[in-house]
Amino acid sequence: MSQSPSTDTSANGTSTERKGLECEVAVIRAPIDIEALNRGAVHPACGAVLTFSGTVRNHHLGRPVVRLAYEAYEGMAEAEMRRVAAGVAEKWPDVRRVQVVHRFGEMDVGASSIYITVSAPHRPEGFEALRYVIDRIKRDVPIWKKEFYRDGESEWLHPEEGCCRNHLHLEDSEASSAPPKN
Amino acid sequence: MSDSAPAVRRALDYRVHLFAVLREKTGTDIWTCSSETPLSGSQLLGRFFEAHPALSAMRSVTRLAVNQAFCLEDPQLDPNDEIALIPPVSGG
Repeated sequence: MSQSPSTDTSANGTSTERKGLECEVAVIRAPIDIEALNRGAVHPACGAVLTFSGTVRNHHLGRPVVRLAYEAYEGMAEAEMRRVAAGVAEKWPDVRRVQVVHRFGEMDVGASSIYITVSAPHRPEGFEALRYVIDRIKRDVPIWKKEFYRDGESEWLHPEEGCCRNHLHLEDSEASSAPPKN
Repeated sequence: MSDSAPAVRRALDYRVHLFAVLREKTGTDIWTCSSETPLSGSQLLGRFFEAHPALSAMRSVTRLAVNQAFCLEDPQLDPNDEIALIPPVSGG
């Protein structure tokens, strides 16, 4: 993670500033350094520091799960997480800092697969923004989960609820009518 | 070949990144689609699912991404674009 949140780069381990929001996103294979993120979430202007840990669970729809593997489209996942943060800046301009780290590769039950921090002056906008961040990530960030069950089977999860080819969420204006150019 | 060789019409090769169930069921993380004429996103999706009928159930839920952003399917694609098929995501 970058040490200088005021810079704007599109490289990995990015940090971006948008309208006063400091945002750091990363998609990594190594275990998430939760303590570092907790320290990084402290902001002198923020009385509400919210954290969310998405954690590998030992069951899915009644089937015992022994481990998970996440696959990521790394470049786009980070780009999409930055778009999510831009949505926070637009909807809750008081939120001062957002950090999101998503891990990929194999992990055991109990591991943190995603860790989010939202730092806001007061709790109402913090709770709302945190909910928005995780919900948007679950809808639009290109990362996929494969569950390995105790019975030896495994399955990719492709939740289709609310998803279709033209489900481009134009209300959030991330989707463009012409391909963006690199 | 010398510079005076007759111009040959070259096919356009679209390289399409595949993930998760699409990657596993096709056995490749890059599917190449050759076409004599430029393709739109929806034409490319059509070609992919015609070539992989076992995946046809994914057709209505797979999204197109161009240069790392979700994209409408009408515009013509450039073979230099970074193209990816995004099945429903399950991160978090």
